[in-house]
Amino acid sequence: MWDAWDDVVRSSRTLLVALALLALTLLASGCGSASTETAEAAEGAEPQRGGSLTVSLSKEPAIINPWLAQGAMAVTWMLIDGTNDPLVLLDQGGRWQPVLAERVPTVENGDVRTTSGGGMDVHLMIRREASWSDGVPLRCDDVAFTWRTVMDKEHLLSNRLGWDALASVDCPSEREVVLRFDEPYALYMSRILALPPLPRHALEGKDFNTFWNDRITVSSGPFLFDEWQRGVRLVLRRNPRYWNAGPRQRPYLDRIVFRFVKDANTLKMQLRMTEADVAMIPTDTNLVAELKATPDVDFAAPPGAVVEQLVFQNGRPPLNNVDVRKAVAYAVDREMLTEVVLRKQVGPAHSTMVPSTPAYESSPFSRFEPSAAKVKKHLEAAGYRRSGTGPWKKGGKALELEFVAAAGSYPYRTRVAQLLQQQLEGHGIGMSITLIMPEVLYSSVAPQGRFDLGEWSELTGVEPAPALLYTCAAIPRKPQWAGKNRFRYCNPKVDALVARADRTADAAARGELIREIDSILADDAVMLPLFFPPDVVAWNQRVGGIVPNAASYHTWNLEDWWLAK
Amino acid sequence: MIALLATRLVQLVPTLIATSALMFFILSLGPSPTAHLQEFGNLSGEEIAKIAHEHGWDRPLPQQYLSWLGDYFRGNWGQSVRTLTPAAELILDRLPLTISIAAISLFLSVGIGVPLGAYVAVRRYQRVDYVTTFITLALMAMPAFFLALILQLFAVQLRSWTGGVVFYTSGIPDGGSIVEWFQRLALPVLALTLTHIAAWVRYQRGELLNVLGQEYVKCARAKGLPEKVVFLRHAMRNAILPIVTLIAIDMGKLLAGAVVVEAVFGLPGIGTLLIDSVTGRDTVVALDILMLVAVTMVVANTVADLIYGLLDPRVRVA
Repeated sequence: MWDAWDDVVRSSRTLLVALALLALTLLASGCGSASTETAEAAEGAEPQRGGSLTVSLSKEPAIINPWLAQGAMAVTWMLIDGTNDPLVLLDQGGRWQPVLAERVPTVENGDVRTTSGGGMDVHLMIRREASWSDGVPLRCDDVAFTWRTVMDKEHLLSNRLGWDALASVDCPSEREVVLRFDEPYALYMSRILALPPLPRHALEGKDFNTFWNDRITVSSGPFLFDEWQRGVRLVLRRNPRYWNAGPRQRPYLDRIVFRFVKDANTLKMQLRMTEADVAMIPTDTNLVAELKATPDVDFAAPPGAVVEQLVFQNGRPPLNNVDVRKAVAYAVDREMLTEVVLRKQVGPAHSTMVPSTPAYESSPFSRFEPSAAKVKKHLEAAGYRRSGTGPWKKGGKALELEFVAAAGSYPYRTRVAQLLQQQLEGHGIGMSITLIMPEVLYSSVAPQGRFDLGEWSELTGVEPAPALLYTCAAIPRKPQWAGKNRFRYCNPKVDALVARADRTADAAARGELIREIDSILADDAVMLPLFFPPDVVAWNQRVGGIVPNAASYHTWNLEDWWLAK
Repeated sequence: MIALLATRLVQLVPTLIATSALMFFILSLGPSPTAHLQEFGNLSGEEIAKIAHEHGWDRPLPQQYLSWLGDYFRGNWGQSVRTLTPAAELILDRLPLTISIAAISLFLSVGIGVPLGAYVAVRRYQRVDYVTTFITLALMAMPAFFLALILQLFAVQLRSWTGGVVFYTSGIPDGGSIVEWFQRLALPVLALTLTHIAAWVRYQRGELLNVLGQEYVKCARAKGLPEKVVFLRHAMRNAILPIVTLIAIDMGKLLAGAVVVEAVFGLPGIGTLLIDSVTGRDTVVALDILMLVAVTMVVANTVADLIYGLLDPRVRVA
C-alpha cells in the first residue's frame, strides 16, 4: 500500500521541484519589478520633470466633497488639495500667503475696514491670470457662488462657521471681491479665504449634495482629478493649463497616485519597499525610531494642529470643584507621559492653542508641574482627607474617577490611560478605565457628560475658534446633544472674551484676547493639554520639493514636488 | 433523492430568515447611523432628523427589517450611508477580488492539504509525521494577521537580497501585467492558504487513520487485493467523503480569514469593505455583505448535503 502511495508522492515531488525552479527563476529575475536603485533628490538640486509619485495614506473619506458632512475630514482636503487653490493659505511658518488673491487682506494694509454702521468689509483682488482648468477665468462670481452654496440649507454641510457671519459678497468688478460683515469678524481668513472657491460655471444647477461626491470636474490647482477607485487609489494628473505654472511650467509631476492602506505597519513596509514614495503615517510610540532606521527615507514629525488633552468633566461632581481638577492636574506628569508614550517626539503641551501659529502662542498650563504638595493642598481645600498612603476620601467615600477614551483610534491612547491610572493612584486618586467605540464616545458618552476624565484630541484651528469649544452656548444639550463643549464648562467672563476676540480683526489684538482666554482656562483647570500629536510625513529621498507644513497640509505645495530619475 | 432535495430547500428558507433577523437586530444595537454625522460636524438637530427620515431610520425596527429584507431579495440593496452610492455597486466592485483570493486558497489548501494529510497518515509516528504535525499545529495556532506580517517582512528581506521587488506588500496593480498581479496577490493567498492547509492535513490524517482501522479495509486485504487498490479504492475513497461537507464549511472560514488578510495587505475586497462599513456605521452595506455571506454559506451547505447524498446512499436513506 505504501509503495502505491509513494508513487503518487514521487510524481508530486517532480511537480514541486518544477514549481521551486520556477520560483527561483522569478526571484533571480526580480520579476521585472521596480528597481531598488534610488536616485537622491539632493537639496537645492534642479527639479526634474515627469513621473508618477505614489502617496500612501491610512485614511480614506467616504466622499471627496469636503464641504459636506460625510466628507468633512482633513484627509479629504488633503486629497483634493492639488485641484483647488484657495485665495490665501498658511505657509510652513504659519504666515498667511496670497494664492488666488493679489495680496493678503489685513487691517494694517487697509484691505480690512470697519464700516460706519459698525460692520466690517474685507476687500481683495483676484489675480488676473487666475483661471479654471477648462479655461474659464476664476472671478468674484465664483466666490459669491461659494457663499450662496454654503448657506443653502438644502446642502448637508458639516459647518457654516464664518460664512454665516457674512451679510453679503459683492463684486464691484469681475476681479474685485468685497466680503461684507454686519459686525467685525476675526476668522475671515481661516474660515472663508483659506477655503477654495467653487466653480460657478461647473456647479450651478447641479445637486451639490451628490455631484462632486466621487469626482472633481474642474480644477483651479496644479492637478486635475483623474479617477477614484474606492479602497484602492485616487489619481490626480497634471493640469496642463495651470494658471500659476510660472516660468518653470509647474507642476513637475505627471501624476500623483494616493493609495489607501489601512494598516500602519503596511504603510511602513511600503516605504521600505519603495512601493510608496511618500507616506502619511499615524503617530505611534516607536515610529520616529523606525523611520530613522529606514534606509533612503527622510521624514518630518512636526507637532500637529490638534491638541491631545485630558478632559475634565466640569459639569458633575467631583470634578465640578476647581480644586479637585487642579489636584488631578498636579498629579499628572506630562513630561514622563510624552517620554514613555511618544519617546519625546514632542514635549508636553502648555497651551490649548496649536504651536503652528505662533501669533497665539502662550504657555499658561506650564504651571501644572507634578507636585504632591499641591495635590494635597487642593484636595484638602475641596474637603478630602487621607490617612497614610490610602485613598483620598470625603464623607467616607474614596475619590474614584471614571476615565473614557476611544478604543482602537490611536494605539498610544491605551498606554496613556494606563500611565495616568498609575500616576493618579500614586497620589491616592482612583481611576477606572473604559475604552469604547469612537462613535459611541463622541455621539453619546462625551456630549452627555457621562464620564469624569476623558482623553481625546480637539482641533482648535490655526486661527483658534474658542466659541466652538469653551462657551456656555456650545455645551451639548438634549435632544441632539450637538455642541463641542464636552467639558460642560460655562464662564460668562470667557463668553464675553470669546465674543470680543471673534469681533477683533486685528491679529495682534486678537492674539492678546486669545491668550487671556487660554490663561483663564488654565486658572479654572478646565482640562489639561497633554501634547500635540506629531503629524508625520515620510518620503523616499528621490522625492524633491516636499516642505512639511503642519499649519496647513503637507500637500500644500504639490506643484513643487518632483521625482529624481 | 427528491425528498432530500425538498427537505433541504424547505430548511433553507427559515434558516435565512432567522440569520437575517439576527444580523439586523444585532447591528441595530449599535449607535445610530447618524452618530458619525454628530462626530464630524456641527449639523443641526433638524438636519440630522432630515437625514434619518430620508433613510427610514426613524421608523420602528421591525418595519425597517421587513422593508430591508423585501428590498434585498428584490435586488434593491439600498444606498450606502457613507458614500451615498448604491450598495450593490460597492459590493459587486469588491467581490471578484475576494472570490479570487478565497477560491485560489481553497484550491491550493485542499489540493495540497488532503494528499499531504494522507501521506503522513500512512507514515504514522515516523519522522515526517512528527515534523508535519509540528508545522501544521504551529500554523493553526498562528493568527492570520501574524502570518501575514511575517510574510510581509519576508518580502522586505527578499527585496534586500535580490535588489528588486519580488513580492509587493500591499495593494492591487495600477493596470498592470499578469506578473504584477502574481507579485501582489501571492502573499495574501499564501497567508490564507498556509493556515488552511494545516487544517486539511490534520483532518485528512485523522480521517484516514480512522478508516484504515476499519473492518472492511482488513477484509479487502484478506481477500488479497493489491495494496494500491485497497488504499485508493477502499480507504481513500471513504476517507475523502466528508471533505465535500467540509469544503462548504471552509468557504465561510476563508471569507472570515480574507477580512483580516485584506486589511493587512491593503486589498480592496469584501473584507475591507465590511470593516469600513462597520466602523463607519454604514449598516446598509454591512448588512448586505453579511447577508451575502449568509446566503453563500447556506446554499453551499445545502449543495454539499445534496452531493453527499449522491455519493453516500446512507444519507439518502436516512
